[in-house]
Amino acid sequence: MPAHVTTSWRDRVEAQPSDDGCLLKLKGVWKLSDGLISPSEVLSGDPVLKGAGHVTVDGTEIESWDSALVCFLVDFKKAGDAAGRRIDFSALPDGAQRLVKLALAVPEREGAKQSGGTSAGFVETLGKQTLEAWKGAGEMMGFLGETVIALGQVLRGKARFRKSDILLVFDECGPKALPIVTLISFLVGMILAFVGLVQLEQFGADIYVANLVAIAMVREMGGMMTGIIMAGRTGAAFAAQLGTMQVNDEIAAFRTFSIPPIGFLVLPRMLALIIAVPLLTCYANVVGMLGGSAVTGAMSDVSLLQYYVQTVGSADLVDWASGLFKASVYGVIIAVAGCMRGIQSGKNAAAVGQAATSAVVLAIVMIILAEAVLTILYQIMGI
Amino acid sequence: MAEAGMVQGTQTPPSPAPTTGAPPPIVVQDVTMAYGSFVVQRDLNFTVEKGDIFIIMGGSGCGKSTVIRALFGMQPPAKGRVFVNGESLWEEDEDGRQRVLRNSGVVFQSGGMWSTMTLAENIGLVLEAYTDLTPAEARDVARLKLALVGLSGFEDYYPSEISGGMQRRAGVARALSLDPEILFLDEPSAGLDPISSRLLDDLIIELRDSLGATFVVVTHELPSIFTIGNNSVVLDPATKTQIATGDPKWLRDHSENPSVREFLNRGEKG
Repeated sequence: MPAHVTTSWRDRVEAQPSDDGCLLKLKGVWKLSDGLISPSEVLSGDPVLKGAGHVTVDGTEIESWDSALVCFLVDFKKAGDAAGRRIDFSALPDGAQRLVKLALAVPEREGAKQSGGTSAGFVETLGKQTLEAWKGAGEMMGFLGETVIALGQVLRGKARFRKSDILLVFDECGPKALPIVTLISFLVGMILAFVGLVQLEQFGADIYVANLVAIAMVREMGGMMTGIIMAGRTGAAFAAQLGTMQVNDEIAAFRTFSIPPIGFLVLPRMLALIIAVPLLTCYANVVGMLGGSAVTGAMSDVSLLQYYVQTVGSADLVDWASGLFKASVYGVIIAVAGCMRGIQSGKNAAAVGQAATSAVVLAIVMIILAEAVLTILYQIMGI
Repeated sequence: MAEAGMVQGTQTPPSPAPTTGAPPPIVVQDVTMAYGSFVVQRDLNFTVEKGDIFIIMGGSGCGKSTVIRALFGMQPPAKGRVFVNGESLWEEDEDGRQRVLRNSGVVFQSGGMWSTMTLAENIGLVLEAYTDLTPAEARDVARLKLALVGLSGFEDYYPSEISGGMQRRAGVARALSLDPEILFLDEPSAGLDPISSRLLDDLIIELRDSLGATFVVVTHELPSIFTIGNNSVVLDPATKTQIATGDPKWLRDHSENPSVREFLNRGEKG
């Protein structure tokens, strides 16, 4: 607490004994800029005031005042009432009296929240988080179920959504994502080639770096990196869009007309991503191979023609198809995570931010999980 | 300037720079509000005197909120001048405008409370930015401000945890944090139930009487207009200018302009 607050109250408060108790004279300037005076300090620090059962507060010598005075008076009144004193404010400025009356007009809410309450213990936190996770899993299954039903309606031609929305979303998450996909894929291709070259050079097998880059990009890295980029770029955007719609009651409006928001909002986004992510992955694969060829050309004796021939012979149609199927799955994951978190968002700015963050985290975790599961499945199936 | 025949029951707009006494808190002089070439309201002239509860009213879409935004420094007029305490607001730079408006507070239509902070933090942030109060002292003042608007005990609630009417009152509490001389309220009663709306009206009158503050209120809620307003300007969406100024009750009963009487008599031709 600043020094001026604790030391100056005696200049502005003076207690004098009177016939019926005590006269408390308030003097000078009572402004927020001069700090607050604590009533409890005054009550306990002034011997005249200490034992008085009736206190008349006189404000005739107050030069100017603002909330600082009202704050003091309200707390003084509360403290006085609690101690069973009678406090008389009738000699105060009229405006201050009215404000004190207004501040005390509505009693304090019972059971009000307290700031800085005791923090939950480890077991309580663990329990709460487990329950939250369980609830979240249930909600996700419910959302997935609704989405599958909506997809079934698409296949039967009965889904209700605007076809033009697919094109709009596709434009946003397809062509406009090309620059970032180009940059990341080129760098990933370069890194793969660099790491591969350092190892393969030891065996004189530089040429096989083309196989390494091609297989790695086509089967795993192209799709996964595109998926992660799209989760951060598009999944977050979906969650923020739908979260804001939740704040504005736009999603509630769909429900009031019995129009399932899943169909109208989620399906176009999902279908657009199912198409866009594999196409972007194809592009990312080629750019990654170019990145690999750039490093190989610069760091080894392998010519670009040799690299090209080796690449063409390494990744066959099955490799491409398996990679692109994974990419489609990632598209579904990104759309589901983004849309689900958006629709589940709370109705304020902070909740929309949390929804976007949560959508990206969920999508990336699910993409890595799907990658692992599909790779094992391919292995079992001999693909 | 508005055409003389269109202004009913109104006095001539006073000079913005009177030679004696303090200048009026707000003087609007020949103001035109526009979005690009689309004119919202033109040739507005009115004066808000100290201690007024001044109502800016008119039908939906007439540009009430746009006009009030020019008064609290959020949207420049396309033409004309706005004087706040005698200083021409829009002839100042950004810093100058902030200085001129330092003694004013704004309550937005939706409350505008910062959703990531509790009510006490919303008010405390403003206090800590402009005074030397410690966080604990700022919290004490925040508690007082919330008590003034009937929200005692809600200090640690987030805006999303209280009702719309409470959010509006919390907005008033935050606007009051620096003891402003002028308060701007944009549609304070919109969407409130009659009781909450009445409570807010009573609060505005009480604050005017106790603090001596000046209020500029945008509203088209007739009960509020007649309860709190002692002066007003009526904006017309058709002619895109003001069609009356003066005491709303007087205008309701005596205005010679049929549009004004119709508006203030809930559509009945007065």
